[in-house]
Amino acid sequence: MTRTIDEKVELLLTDPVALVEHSYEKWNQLPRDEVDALQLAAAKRRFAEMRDRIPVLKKLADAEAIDRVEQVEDLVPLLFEHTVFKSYPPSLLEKNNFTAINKWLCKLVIPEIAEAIQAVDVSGCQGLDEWFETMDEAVPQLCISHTSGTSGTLSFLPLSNREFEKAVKVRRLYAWRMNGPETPAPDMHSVYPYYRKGYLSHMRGNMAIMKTVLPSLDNFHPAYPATLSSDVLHLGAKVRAAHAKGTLDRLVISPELMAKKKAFDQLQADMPGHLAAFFEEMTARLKGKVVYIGGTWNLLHNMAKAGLERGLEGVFHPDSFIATTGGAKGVVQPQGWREDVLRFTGARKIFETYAMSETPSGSHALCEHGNYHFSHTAIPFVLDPETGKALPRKGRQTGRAAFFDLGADLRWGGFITGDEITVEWDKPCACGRPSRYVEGAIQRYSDKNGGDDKITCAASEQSHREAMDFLNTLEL
Amino acid sequence: MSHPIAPMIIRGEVITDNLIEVGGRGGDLTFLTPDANRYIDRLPLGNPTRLADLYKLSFDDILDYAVALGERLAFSKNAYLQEACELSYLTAPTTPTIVKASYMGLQNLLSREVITEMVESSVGVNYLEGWVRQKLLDGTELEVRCFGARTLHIVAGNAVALSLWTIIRNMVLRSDAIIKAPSNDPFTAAAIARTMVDMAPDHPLTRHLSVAYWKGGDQAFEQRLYQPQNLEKIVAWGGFASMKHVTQYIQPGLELISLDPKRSASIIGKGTFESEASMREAAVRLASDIGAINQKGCVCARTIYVQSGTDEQGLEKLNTFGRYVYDAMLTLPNSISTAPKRYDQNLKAHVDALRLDDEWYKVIGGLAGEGAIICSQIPEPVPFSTLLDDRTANLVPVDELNEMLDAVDAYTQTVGVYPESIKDQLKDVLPLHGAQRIVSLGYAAAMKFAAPQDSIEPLRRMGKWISNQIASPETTPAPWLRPSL
Repeated sequence: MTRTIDEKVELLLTDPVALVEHSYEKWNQLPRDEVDALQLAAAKRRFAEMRDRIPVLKKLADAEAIDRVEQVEDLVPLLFEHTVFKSYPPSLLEKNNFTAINKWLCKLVIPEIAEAIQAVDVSGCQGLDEWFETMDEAVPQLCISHTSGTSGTLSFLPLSNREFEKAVKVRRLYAWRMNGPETPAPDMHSVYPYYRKGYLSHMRGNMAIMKTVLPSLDNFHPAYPATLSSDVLHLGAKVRAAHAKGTLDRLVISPELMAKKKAFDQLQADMPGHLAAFFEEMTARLKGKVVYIGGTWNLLHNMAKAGLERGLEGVFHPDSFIATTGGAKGVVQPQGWREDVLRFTGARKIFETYAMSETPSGSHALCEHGNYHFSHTAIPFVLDPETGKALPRKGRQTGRAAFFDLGADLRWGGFITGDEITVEWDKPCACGRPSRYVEGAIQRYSDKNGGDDKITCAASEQSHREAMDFLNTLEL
Repeated sequence: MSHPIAPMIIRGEVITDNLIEVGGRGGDLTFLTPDANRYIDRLPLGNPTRLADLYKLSFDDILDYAVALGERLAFSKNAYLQEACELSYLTAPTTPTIVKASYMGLQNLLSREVITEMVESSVGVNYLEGWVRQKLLDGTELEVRCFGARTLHIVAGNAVALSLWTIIRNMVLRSDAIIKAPSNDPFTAAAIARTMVDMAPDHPLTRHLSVAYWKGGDQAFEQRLYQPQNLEKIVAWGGFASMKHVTQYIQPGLELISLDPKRSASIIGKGTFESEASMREAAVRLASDIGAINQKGCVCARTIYVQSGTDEQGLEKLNTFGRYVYDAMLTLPNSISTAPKRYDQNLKAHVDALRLDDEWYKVIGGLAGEGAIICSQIPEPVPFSTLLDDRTANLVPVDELNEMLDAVDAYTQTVGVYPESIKDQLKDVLPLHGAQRIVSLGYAAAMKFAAPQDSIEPLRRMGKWISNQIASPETTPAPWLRPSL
């Protein structure tokens, strides 16, 4: 089928898997030049659509006097720092002033969504969990996610369900080994070694994946039936920040939060039962089946260790799909965690990616030669860490990673990460994929400089525990 | 190109052998210095009775030495200082004019009167000169004297003068000092020590000063040196991580005197807004507290609570005041403040994000990395207040004076206050919240070493306080004469 450039650009933006006729082989083999041309045209289109319609973008573009994008480098001054997503006063959360948070959020999205957000009455929400739930119901296009920062402030990302859907359809290419639109849907199950639900960005992504790769949500088997409380995670971040400032005694804990703690204590007490049931389900009902397991490496590893201790090995079908966002980024991963996971699950390999919450379309797959290949739906940049200027898109460049996420359709997709990467722009990878790639280890700049302002996805479990430890001291 | 050398000085001997290469992080200067591991056994004094030579000196002798050293530390005549200054341009966190001004000011610290004032107000000269006797209620004659100690000094690298202050404190106490030079100021202490060696190579004061550089965190090295048989005290300035690091070596017999990581704040009272003149005056003073040594000092103001009021009119006053402060900051003399050397990129990300949405915070300046004043439009500081640096400060509007106490916590060192008239209301309350030094606004950087520092008195604590009780049954009830029960 021959398509015009415009049609292809349209597909890249709205239905990227259709661009490659639902074939993971074609996805992997998309030629470099074609990707470049489509990405530039797509970026131009996004900017033209959004420049004057997203207030924060408009302000930045006005300040930089940028009215059009001629080449991809023109996007660099318009990339958002992570700080943009947490520039609201932290007291708004203390006071449960979600009306003001929503007003702030409106400046980050296109007018249609801003209107929908404004129309929701969140004045009665007694905490983050209730706010997320209310927003999910009232604005179903939107999928507000959060990350947890050690500074005590949460970032809120106005992601869309549509962009998650587009991104996970790419993931599905791999999970189902698709070779065309007619590839039959396997009867896949999924086990998830953590909470059923949560509003942390990586858990949001999980839910979207389940909806796309599983025949039914009944095929989703979480370890704990509860929702991971964002209010508790937020407390964890605040405890950490107050520790650092020496103001722990000034933290005020609401009765609602204490109630959540009680619910958690109950879950904690029921945990052995839940875990027993979880492993029972795996061995009795899912043994030998093809499963999809996605999760942070530490969750996967904890599950594998617990399973191996119970004497379970090779539980699932070898074609099972195990996915994780790799790259330890400052966290020391225990030796042999991959082997443990493979031994327990029986899968042949782990599908690892380099990804971040702020650019869901930018899930960059690790190849067998240890390189992360850029997803076609995100334009990568390497920036000079001192000046923020773009380094040349040729040769080998080391600097700060930044992306323009073409999947973002109701918010601006330009984002600067805190990661140091080395990109090989010219030399093709030995794996045969024509795409450009990240070579070698990915490091966080904050780790290099001795501090850290962000808890990585893998550390959210720890943040949760810290909050609970703190609440425990209050009850004494 | 050959790299410059930061020599090691051990008790009068200048060492430039066994060089290794250090530094060079992030485009910083790479320099050579003798491998401290080769000299580790010579660094500590060893037998503490070797301090005795210092006790043949009188306080007056020490002052004579200090004054003579001061004359030799005249910047224009001292080649060591000139060289160290040039090299420090590359390593210092501040800019050349600030570094040079600090070097030019060094000799002023060595005045007879200033040193005497410092000692009298913190220790008392007579306690250093001999035994100070008093008679206690029970008839005991008590003698107290302050002795020197074998001390390791981990000096901070943010201000050039700290090395010289350490040397002066060491001299007056008749202590033995090993200065661990900081990586961002590896040359100053050595230049002063070399001047001392040239001036009086065999003088006991010269013979009780050593200066060396080693990379902090070299556990094998530090474990060996930081032992009670080598040292009695460690005086450490520094950041949270390095302070935590040092504490692992502390054990019975080895004391830590810690000048912790600190932050400072200011309080601007309502009276400031009574006239244009007082607003302008407060703005200049505040600009100085923010901008001095490019905000690299713990004394520098970062979060400033302003009693402008929080209604629309109040915010307007605050924003006008913020503009005045910004303008004043740009016109500070370049000997105390300039555009920062390298604006912190992490901080910039935060400041730029606020710029995109000015509902809650207004950002004045900062586009060219020259520093910025952020005026909160709500009565709370920016969420990243602990990162404020490179001449970036946050003005927070409040209605009442007592709301300002939020500015103060366990990490607060200096609080600048304006106008002077509100200080009496604050000075008894601020210390309860953590404040350790209260100054008239504008004087934060005018650190007085005659005053206590960081809520401790380092000079007193650097000495060993020894007592001698003189008693006999004729004058004082004797334990052995107590009746049995």
